[in-house]
Amino acid sequence: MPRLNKTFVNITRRLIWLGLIAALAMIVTNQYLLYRKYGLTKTPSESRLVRIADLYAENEKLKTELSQRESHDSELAAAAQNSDEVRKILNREKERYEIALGTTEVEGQGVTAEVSYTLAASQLIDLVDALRVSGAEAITINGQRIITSTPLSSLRGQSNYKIEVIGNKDIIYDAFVRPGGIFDLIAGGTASRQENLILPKV
Amino acid sequence: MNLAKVKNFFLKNYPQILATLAVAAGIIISVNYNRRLPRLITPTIPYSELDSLELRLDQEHDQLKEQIASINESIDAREQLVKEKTVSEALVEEVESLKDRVGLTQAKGKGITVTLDDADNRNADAAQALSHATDMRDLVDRLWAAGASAISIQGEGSKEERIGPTTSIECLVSVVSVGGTKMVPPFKIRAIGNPTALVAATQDREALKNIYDRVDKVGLKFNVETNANLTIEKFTGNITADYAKIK
Repeated sequence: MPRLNKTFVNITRRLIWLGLIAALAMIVTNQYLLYRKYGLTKTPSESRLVRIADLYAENEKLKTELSQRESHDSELAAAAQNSDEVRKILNREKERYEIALGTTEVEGQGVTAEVSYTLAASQLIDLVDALRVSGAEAITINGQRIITSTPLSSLRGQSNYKIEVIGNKDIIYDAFVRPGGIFDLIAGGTASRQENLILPKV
Repeated sequence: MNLAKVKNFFLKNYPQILATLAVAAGIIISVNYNRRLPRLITPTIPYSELDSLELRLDQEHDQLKEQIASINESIDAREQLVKEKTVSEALVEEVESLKDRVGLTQAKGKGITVTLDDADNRNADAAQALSHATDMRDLVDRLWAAGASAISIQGEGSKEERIGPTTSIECLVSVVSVGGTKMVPPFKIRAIGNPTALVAATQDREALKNIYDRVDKVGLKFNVETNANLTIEKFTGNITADYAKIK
C-alpha cells in the first residue's frame, strides 16, 4: 500500500508537469499563429478614428462644393452668350457671397438655443467654431449677426445668450445636445429646432 | 533491436517521451483551435488598413482642394469673358467685389506673421507645453478685432489655409485641423492689416492670457514679426448656402 501511494504521487506529479508543459506549448503556438495572421494587431485608438471621421466629413463637404462649382462653371460656359442666363447665374453667386458676408437679412431652417450663463470670450469662440463644423450658414448671438471677421470677444460677459443658427436643423440641434456636444462641453442650455428663422444683416 | 530493448528504452526515458508527446499535443491542439478562429475576439480593422485609409483620405482632401482651386480659376476666366461680352458689367463688378471680401481672391499688403510653436521641453506637461487649436482660435479672434482684412494659418510642411466663412480650427488629438487641412507646429499665423494695431492685439496679455501664461511658465514659443509685403492666398474651402436664403 505504501509503495502504491508513492507510485501514485510520482505519477500525479509528473502528470501535473506534463499538463503545464502542454499548456505552455499551446500558449506559445497560439501567440505565434495569431502574430503570423494579424501582425501586432491592437484596437485602433479613438484619436485615429476621430481624425479619419473628420477627414471623411470634410472631404464630403469639399465634394459637394466641387460639384456645385463644376455645375456653375458649366452654366457659365453654356450661357456665355445669353445675358439673361448670365445675370441669373451671377445673381445666385452674389447671393451666396452676401449670405457669407452677412450683408443681407436671411431666412431658413435652423436651431434656436438659449444659454443662461456668463460666457468668456474663449467659450464664445469655441461655440462658433463648433457651429461652423456643424455646417452653420448664418449665426446670430443676441441678435448680432456673426460672420468670419466678427470678434467674438466683444460679446463676452453677458448673462444670457440667445443663439440662432440657420443650417440643417437636425445636425445643428444634435451638435448642441449630444453627449460631448456644445451644451456638454461649453455651457448648458436649451435648444429647439426651427422651421424658419429670420436673421438680420450685420 | 529486440522487443526487450525497446521496452527497456521506454521504461528508462518515459518522462522525456511523455514531455515530447505533451508538447506535440499542445501544438496540435493550438493549430486546430486557430483553424477555427477566422476572426479576432474584437473584430477591428487592422492598423495597416486604417493607415492606408487615412492616407487615401488625406490625398483625396488635397486633390479636392486643388480641383476646387482649378475650377475657380476657370470660373474667374469665364466671368471675365462674360464681363466683356454681356451687358451685366456692373453685376460682374459687384460679384468680383463680394468675392474679394469673402476671401476668394489673393490678398496682399502690410501685416504681421505670428509664429506659434511648442515649448522645447514638450514632455514636461503636454497641456501647457504644446501649441493648441484654441490658441490659434483666440489669436485669430484678436486679429479680427484689430481690423485684419485677411488671415491665414500654415503648419510646418502643410499648405496655407485662408480663414474663410466656414473655416473651423480644431484639435484632432495630435494635430490641428484648419479648414480640414491637418497641420503640425510650428504654426505661422499671417494677418494683413495695420501692423501697429495687429502687433498691439498680439501683445494683449489679458485677452491672450492662456498663451502668455504658458510662454512665461513653460517656454511656449510665441513670436511676432511685421511684414511690409505679405501675400495670403485665396480661400479654398466651401461656401455653401443650402439652407439660408436671402429674405
